[in-house]
Amino acid sequence: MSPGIEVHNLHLRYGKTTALRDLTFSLSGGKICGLLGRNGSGKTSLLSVLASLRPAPGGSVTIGGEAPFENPRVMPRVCFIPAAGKGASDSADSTRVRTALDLAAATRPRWDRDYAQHLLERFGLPLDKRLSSLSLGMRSALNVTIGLAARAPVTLFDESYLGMDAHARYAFYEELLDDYMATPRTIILSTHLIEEIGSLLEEVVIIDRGRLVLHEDAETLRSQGAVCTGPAEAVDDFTAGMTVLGEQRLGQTKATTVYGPLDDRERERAHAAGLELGPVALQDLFVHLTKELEGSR
Amino acid sequence: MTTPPIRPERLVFRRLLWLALLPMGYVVFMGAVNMIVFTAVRPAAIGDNLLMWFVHNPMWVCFTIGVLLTTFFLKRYVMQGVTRRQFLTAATAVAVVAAVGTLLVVAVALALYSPMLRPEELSLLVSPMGETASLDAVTGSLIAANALLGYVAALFVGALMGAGFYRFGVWRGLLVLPVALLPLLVAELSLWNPIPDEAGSLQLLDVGALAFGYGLPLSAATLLLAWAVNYLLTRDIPIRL
Repeated sequence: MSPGIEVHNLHLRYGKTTALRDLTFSLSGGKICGLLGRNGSGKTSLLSVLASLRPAPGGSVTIGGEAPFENPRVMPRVCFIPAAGKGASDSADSTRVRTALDLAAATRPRWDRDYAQHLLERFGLPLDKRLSSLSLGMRSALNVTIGLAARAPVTLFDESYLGMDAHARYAFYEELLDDYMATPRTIILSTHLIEEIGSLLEEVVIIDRGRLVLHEDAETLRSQGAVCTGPAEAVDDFTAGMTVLGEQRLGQTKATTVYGPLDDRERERAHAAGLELGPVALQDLFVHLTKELEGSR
Repeated sequence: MTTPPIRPERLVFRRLLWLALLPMGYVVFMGAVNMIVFTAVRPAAIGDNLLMWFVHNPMWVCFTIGVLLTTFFLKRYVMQGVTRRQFLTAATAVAVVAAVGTLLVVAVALALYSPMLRPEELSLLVSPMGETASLDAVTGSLIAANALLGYVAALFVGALMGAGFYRFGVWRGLLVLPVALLPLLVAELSLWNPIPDEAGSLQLLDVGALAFGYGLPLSAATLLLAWAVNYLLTRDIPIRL
């Protein structure tokens, strides 16, 4: 069973900078959760605490009911894959790809050697190359290979795609989803490429300046808005008075993204006006929700 | 297919064991170089050179290994789920193996060299200040104890300094220096340092009395202190990304 994660009043400071402020949320486990936030919002700090890279000086964190920090039962079961150059594949590291994989194999209780081999081939990673000679994208590919093949019950990817080209990124998303379906576990994806991973997410946590902005099921979140498409005039009539997140126009056709749940009556009104209502993109919601807070920055 | 993991302490120990070979390799390498130089030109102060090359210089290799432990290797293992405590246990074992192994290699090297030395050169080896001394069992064991404590001290001091700089950064890390250097100074000064006698000339301390009196326990105590401070600094050290 995939362990759940409880974060209670988590507070973290670096000198005078507050990275996390009384953060509280819980993940039931066994889901793919997106951790979204702007630069400097505290995503990496939060993941670092979950991965026991730093203690939680204020508040508490539990994984599967146990505090993870320096806990030999929990730490091997949590795999943190940071952005390339920060973790298993440091740009200054002269060890070889084979050695990095051997270390992961020796420390991760559920390491799958065959799957690691499959990923190496898919990403075209050379076993005998030194990490320092790999490109950023290749180092990222190695990191995600380790993250996936470790099959850790809690896997944390922190912008792990950095430098990977579109082919490699989509290969990663495909492998992530396939492997998650085969061996369900708790996966947290911290990313700025919300459009690309939006469809993978079952749960979304948004933080801003170290505070929790939102924690919702992805489906519920998507229902918080709609994309209304149709003749420009009819769209404008329908969306008058609503919170508009964005507009696109092609000739006489207009697509307007609105925020806020639409009840049955409004949906019928849209239908009657010849408008189509589609799901809102997660990225539009994210931009809107974090923009709302911008004024208070 | 999954691979069952071994105990993390054992795993880290095995994977870091090559570090312990570095000071030993240094002694073997310098021994070979010295042998060539010795047989070719036979320098006058060969005993002093031997002492420096074999007994003292490996301390700097040990020191470097100590610095690397935290600054380079800790992150790699913690990122893979090894606790800091497990890493420290393994690193301490590696340090002990490095120190004992180096001592044994040094002993073999000196044993090989001793028959090649003239009596005055041998006395220089035993007593750097030129006192007449013979390499008897007591003196030999004191040299060995000194060297062993020196190697362990260098390893622990390096680890402590590495942990201090890693944790606190450059400037605040400097504050760790006095505590960090203490064991090395004590290991050097209490067992080895020449002091002026009543006539004002330098001579070796009565190393036998000092070593078995308070020098050895004092040195051991400062080593434990360095280890304990290193443990306190490292047990919750934040890993830098």
